[in-house]
Amino acid sequence: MVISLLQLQIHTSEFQNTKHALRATCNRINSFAKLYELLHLNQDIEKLPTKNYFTNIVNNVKMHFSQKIEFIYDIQYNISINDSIYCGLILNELVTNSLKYAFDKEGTITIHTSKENDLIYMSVQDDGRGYDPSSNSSLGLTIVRTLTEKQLQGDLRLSFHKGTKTLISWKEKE
Amino acid sequence: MISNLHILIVEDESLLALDLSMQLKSKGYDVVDYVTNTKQAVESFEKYPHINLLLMDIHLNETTDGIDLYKQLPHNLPVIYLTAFTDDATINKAVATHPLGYLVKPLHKQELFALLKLASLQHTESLQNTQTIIQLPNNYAFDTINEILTQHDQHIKIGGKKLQLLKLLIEAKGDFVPFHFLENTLYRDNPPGESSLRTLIYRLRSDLANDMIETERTYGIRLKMIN
Repeated sequence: MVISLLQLQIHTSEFQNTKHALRATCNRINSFAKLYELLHLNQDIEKLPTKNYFTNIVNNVKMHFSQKIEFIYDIQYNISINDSIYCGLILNELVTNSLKYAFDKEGTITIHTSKENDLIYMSVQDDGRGYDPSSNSSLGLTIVRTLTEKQLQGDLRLSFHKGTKTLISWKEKE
Repeated sequence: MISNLHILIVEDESLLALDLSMQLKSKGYDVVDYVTNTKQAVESFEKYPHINLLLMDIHLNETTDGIDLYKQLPHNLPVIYLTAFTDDATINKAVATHPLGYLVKPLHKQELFALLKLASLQHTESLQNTQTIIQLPNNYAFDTINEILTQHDQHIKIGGKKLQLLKLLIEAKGDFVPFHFLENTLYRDNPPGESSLRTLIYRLRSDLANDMIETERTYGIRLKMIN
């Protein structure tokens, strides 16, 4: 219902900037609305299929872009429910950034999660033109940084080899 | 006026902290850091000793709550609690720590800004009230703000470790300060040779009138003060 209200506002808004801002907000809300939906459907409340959750978020984001992008899901670890809400938001921002800045017409985005020793890894990698998401002080990256460093108490690394890769790692709370 | 506040936000939901931080910054406040838990709060204090105001969430999603965390912190800093809890037990517990204010979430920005103005004013006044010139025996005086030592209003040049030593002795207000404490504080980074501290004390002594530094042989030294 919140999303519907926002969408009504988008349709009636005359200003392009306002439309963009509302659209971004809509996607952010959607990222955790999806989590609650999946939690509702799943009985096992300790773990949730991360691939399922991430696919939902990505499908919602890519609707708003016209490029032909292939998404590869390399999900080797199901993220805990507690962290999922933050990771969903992070994914939403990173995929949005890639779709906005990385591609002309087509490309690939790879989404990865794994666990090694005590650390959980999550990365979003595109094979686009290689943009530096930290070059503009966008709200999206500020949100990603805040969630990674302050909430998950993890690390964030950016690398630019044939595209842009954002890797975050953190320790899961017991 | 508001620039004299250096704020630390403690709030377990990082995006709320980010939002609050951005709003305060846009009004010209200095938000030094925002953190989501006890560990980060303690680290932030060590990293930024100039923090002089806390905005503290009470429910922190860990066993320690914001009030207990406040009690653990070393300095008696002004604190404004931010909380969704308005039950008597929580309020009483919070009030016992003499906070500057207690704001119920969702925050009314005007209330918060009014409290911050109050905090800023109180900070200015408390600075004016603290004594800045300390009178020492034999017409010596020490200006704690500018860190200047004088005798009969004549400036005595003193710096480096000698100045640090003098400050430690003045802070002790005439009590004995143990040698091991001085060594640890003054030579934190590299342990001193055996005679370094002794030489330093000798050098400070020669800047002051003879009998002003009193030694307790195996324990420590003290600076005679005017009571």
